Amino acid sequence: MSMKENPSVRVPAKQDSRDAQNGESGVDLQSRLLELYANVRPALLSYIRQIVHSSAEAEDIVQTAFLKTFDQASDRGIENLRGWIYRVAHNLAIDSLRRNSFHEQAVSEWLYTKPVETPTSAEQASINRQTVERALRCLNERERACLLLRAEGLSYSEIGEVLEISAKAVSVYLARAVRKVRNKP
Amino acid sequence: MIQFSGAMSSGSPHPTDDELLAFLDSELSPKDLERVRLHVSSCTTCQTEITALERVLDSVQQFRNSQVAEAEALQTEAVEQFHVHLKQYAHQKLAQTVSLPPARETRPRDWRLASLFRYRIPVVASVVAVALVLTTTFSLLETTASADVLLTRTEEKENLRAPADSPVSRSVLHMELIDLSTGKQEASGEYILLADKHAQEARLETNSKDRSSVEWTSAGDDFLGDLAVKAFRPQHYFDQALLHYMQQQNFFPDTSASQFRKLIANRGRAGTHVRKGNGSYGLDYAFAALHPSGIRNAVLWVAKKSYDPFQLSIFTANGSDTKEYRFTRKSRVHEVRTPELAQLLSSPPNKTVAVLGANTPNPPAILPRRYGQIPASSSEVRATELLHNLGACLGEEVYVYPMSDGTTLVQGLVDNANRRQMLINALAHADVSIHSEIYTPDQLESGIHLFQPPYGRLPPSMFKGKANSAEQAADFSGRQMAFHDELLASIQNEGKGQEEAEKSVAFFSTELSALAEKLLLNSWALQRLDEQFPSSRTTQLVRADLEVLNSLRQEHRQHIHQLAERETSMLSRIPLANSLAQATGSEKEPATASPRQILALAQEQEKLVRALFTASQETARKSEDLSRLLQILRLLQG
Repeated sequence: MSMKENPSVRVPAKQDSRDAQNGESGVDLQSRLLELYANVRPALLSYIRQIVHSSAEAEDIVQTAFLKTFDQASDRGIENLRGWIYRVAHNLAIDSLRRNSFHEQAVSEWLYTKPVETPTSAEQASINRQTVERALRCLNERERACLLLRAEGLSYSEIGEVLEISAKAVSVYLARAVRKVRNKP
Repeated sequence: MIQFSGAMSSGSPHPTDDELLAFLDSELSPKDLERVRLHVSSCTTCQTEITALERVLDSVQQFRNSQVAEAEALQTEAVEQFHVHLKQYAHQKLAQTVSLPPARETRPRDWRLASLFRYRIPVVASVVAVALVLTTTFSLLETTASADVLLTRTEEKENLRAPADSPVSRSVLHMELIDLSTGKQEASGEYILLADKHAQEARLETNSKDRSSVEWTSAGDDFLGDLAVKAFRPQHYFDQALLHYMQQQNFFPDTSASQFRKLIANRGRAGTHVRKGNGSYGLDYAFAALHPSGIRNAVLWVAKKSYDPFQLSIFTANGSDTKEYRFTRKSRVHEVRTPELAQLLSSPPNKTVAVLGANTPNPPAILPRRYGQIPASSSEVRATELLHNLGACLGEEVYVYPMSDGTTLVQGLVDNANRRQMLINALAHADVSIHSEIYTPDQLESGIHLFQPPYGRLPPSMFKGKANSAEQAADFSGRQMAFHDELLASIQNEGKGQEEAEKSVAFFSTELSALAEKLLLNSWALQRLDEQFPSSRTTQLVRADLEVLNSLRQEHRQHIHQLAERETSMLSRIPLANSLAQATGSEKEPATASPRQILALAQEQEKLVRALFTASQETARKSEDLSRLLQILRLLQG
């Protein structure tokens, strides 16, 4: 899959012609954020859920990320709102993960509550969803984030911005992640 | 999905995993892209690898899509909720911003400004601190300078206002005396002052409607100070120390800059300060601490634009008692010296107060009179009684003076400020009017003049070197007192150790000396009473006053008796004293000794005690002296 095939999820280089130096007026910013929320909420939620492994926590984090972005954007202009929100949400998720060690909790939740589904014929053709999910859990934080953000349609440099690493590093993490998922039975 | 044109190996090294992945995602640089594309197009291994990679990525994508689809459930509600939430949040934030006036500013790009912004709190604090220091310094400099500058300016304007051909100034003054500790107004009055500074003549009259008019005139070098004394001395509320100072400075409080200069001329070392009033300046001149006048500070209020002085406040402090003498100028005009004015200024006043000798334009100063010259007054008796009750009659140099104006003055010197205050307070609260001028030695150094004691002759200078007699008694390092050995033996006989016995001897000596001294002081006080109130002076006194005097005498006699008794009982510890007492016991005692006789005996006993029981250098004929001492003590007990 290439980025060109899924242009709707690409982060635009510039959202509009606003002066990035200055904060935005409250009303404009609210409507922009609301629109963005409607657009990216499902994707961002699913991404964050993969980090914190808790739907409720992920929902909170997404909302908080938007409110934080509102604060920051009213103080100073932010060019790429979508990228910014991913970055804020990612950092919040990592903080939350480290603070609450939700990981173990979520893993146990997942292990004991999710029934093992019988693979259908359609799913037999590729690695089924559960296998991917399990494989994703075996990746480290960075690898998983790279893989999922790529699936969100972010370019390597955008992923780098979210994770605060270089585009080259993103490519290395991605390759490593793909290899790990592939080798998973 | 990428389509490959062939399946041949090109011979070039296989691209790495991440290169293949980047190739798939179109994230390679143009140069790498070309190389990888060329290789992959001819390498079946890499093509297989790419297919596998694509499969993994597709499955991840599908997984993601399914997750997103799940997350899309309740999307509408979530968006609506978020809408509400965001609105509230924005509203709260706006409210916070409004309640905090300094809105956060965009950080400047310029690094210098940026660093200023980062350290804005310390920077602002430093700027404020520097501003404060500078303001304080400048205001201090300004006020120190400007009090004098303003006074000079006021004086210049005043001179301009007084034309040379109109030397007579006519001021209407309102005087108030405010007790600052209670906030009460103690007295008030209005005066008209006519003054001719060239002719050195002045005239003052009260302008009070409810009181009869009183007038004073004065002339000469110190005509204004003299006028102040005449006008204010009879006023019981006016502090005599202040009045004394006013007289010295030839000052009258007519709220003018030139008079104010005279007032502050001898204020000692103290600061100045400009008070800022509503449309006026207060030139505040502090006086040196413990200034003999009792003035704490004096403030001349002048109008801001015209530099016209309109009010003078003199603040005095007497312990916790602080008063403000406020003189407000109602009007002031300059007049030509007309014959009428000249007559008014030089003529004797129509009515005079008691102080003034009749028809004398320049009456004599008020001075103490000798006791023999005038009969004793009730206030004199009261003052003597108060001093007696406070123990001031026992050796303190405080005297009661009947003054030439009929008032009673208590003047004298005491050791410290506390004692001074105690005496002043007691005298101030007497039921009759008594002026007091009590000083401490440091005040005397600043030029206060004490009157001679009002006796015909001074009592013998028996206090010289006596203050440390007790110390001498205790000092056995060099010499020993005459009866040292006898006393020591006697005390050791009572069963005390050597060291303890020595201490007891020292104590004996100190105690006996103190008793002897006290006895002498009481005798002196008794004699003083006789000199102050001889029968010739007391004929006009009321019975109650006579009784007071008798009781004072009786008290002193009683003390003398008791002290002599105690001394005798102390001496009985010496075996020789006992045998001598028995030998002289039969001697006839006089009926009643006069105060003069008692004083003579007391002086002798004191001298003997010093000779026998302190480490004195005087050669003591021990036995005879002791015998004489015992005899005197027995006489004093009579």
